[in-house]
Amino acid sequence: MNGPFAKAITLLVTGDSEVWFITGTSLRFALSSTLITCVPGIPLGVLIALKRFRGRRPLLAVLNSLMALPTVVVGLLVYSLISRSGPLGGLGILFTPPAVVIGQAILALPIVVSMTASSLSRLDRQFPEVLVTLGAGRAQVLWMSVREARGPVLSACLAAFGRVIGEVGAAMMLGGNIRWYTRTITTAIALETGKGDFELGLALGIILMAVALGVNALLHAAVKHE
Amino acid sequence: MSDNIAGSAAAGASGRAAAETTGRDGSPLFTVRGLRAGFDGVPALTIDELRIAEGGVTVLVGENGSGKTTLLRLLNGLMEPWEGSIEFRGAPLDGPGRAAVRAASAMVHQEPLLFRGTVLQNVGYGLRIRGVSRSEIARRADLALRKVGLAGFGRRRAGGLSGGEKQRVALARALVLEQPVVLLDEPTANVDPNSRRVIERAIRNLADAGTSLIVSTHLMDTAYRLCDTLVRLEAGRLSDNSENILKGRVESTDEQFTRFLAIGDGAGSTTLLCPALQGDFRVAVLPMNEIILSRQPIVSSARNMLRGRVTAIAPVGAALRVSVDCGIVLQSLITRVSAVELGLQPGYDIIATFKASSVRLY
Repeated sequence: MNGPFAKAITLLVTGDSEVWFITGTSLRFALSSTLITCVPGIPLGVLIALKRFRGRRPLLAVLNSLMALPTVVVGLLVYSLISRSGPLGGLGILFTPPAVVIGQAILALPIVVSMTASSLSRLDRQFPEVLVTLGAGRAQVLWMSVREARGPVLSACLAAFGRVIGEVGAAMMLGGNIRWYTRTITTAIALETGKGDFELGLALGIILMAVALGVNALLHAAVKHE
Repeated sequence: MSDNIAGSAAAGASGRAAAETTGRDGSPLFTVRGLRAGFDGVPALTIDELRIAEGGVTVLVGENGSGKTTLLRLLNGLMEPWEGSIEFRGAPLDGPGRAAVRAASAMVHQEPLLFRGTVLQNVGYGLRIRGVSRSEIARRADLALRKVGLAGFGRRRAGGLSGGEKQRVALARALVLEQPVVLLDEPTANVDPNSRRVIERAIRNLADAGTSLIVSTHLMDTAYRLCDTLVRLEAGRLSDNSENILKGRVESTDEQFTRFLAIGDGAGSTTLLCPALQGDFRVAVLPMNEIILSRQPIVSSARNMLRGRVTAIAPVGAALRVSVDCGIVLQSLITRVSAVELGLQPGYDIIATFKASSVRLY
């Protein structure tokens, strides 16, 4: 136990270039997919929270269950779409960073939409009305509602980020775990552990834990701020 | 009592029609016809006909759940009726009237619902989205805050204010837009007495400056102090006013009585004796069923005895509402039997008698 752990620390402290490259790749993928998700996800969540339409409750129930979507299922789904014989095979993006980001974005979307919707539904139902009576248009109502609930909305984004940075299914199946290209912390840990190289796996595990803790701390601060 | 009779003897022949509860002359601001509305299939409001006049303060008064808020939301186009029509200055709200009412009105909800940020950001919001310059916003917001007694509050955090202050900021946020029509939902519920005074004064000042206001409240004293027109709601329906609401001012107060100069809708006026009270009063309220009508002056403990002439008799449920012009128009609620025994008819000279303690001043 002492051996691999000490080695892991050494790897981290000495700044092993592959360790840091893998970490960078993981962060890049997770940040991209989270950001890409937030652009449609937050407005969608706001609309679901503020609008009363037929099928709203079932939609929320579906979104809630999609929050627990198995990552390998998403991997499989996207794989079947973008593999050479799939309908989007012509794009040639299988085993590239965009493939991983697409898969992770699909994982993140229900989290962002559902958590945004639930945080905004705690706003007073008359809040949008107040804005309308002051002369606000649709876009202004949307913006002010997000601004009002920005803590919980931010925590929705962080939760989505936490989910995608820790997932292994989509990254493995869609990225292919290619060294110096699509290898992420989680796929690397799976690989190295399988090979019996605990040191690298452990070092990466420590980094992943640190990122997860950091995200959690941010999340906590965001919610406490409310 | 004799000076009361003398004071009003000259009046009484004008034959003015009974004051309508729906307002004064002029084009209606809102016209409601055949209205039915509610939530999730549960009816909340049924109004056959209601006209709200341009100018002045129209107070919607009633218990919680009587449909006041629903009516305000309907008038502002925030919800749609199941049936019936609402017109704003003659334009239907399901057509061009909606945009017109939005452009001309501001509303303050019962809950202040301030935004995050400073008082200035809140008050200036409506101007900001209208593209008003920063310096102009600051100037007008300052003015609006002054009107609600919160001068210098601009830089405070909205979240740290008291309930009454929040309500006043919400009022300022609407007033700053200087709209000709302002709708207020329970502006004085859940606020401290000082905020309540400030809010009531701001509402009166606005009305005196020509703004049309529609104010809902469940507080009768707020209603009387504010109203030019009172619209009473009961379980989602219009109900009859059971009081005379008379405008005027206090002439003098001694140890026993306040003399209140009541001024009628027209040129007429008369002095009412009221319980001795201190303060400024502008409205006298007199329950209809506490006015005794008689052919001859009656000797009694009642201190107010006014000579007048019957101008109208209208049925109200099982009773009759008799309008008597005694300089001011008073309405008395009497039974049909009494009317028959007195031989009451329009044009009939009659004496209205009531106790000083029946008159409440607001």
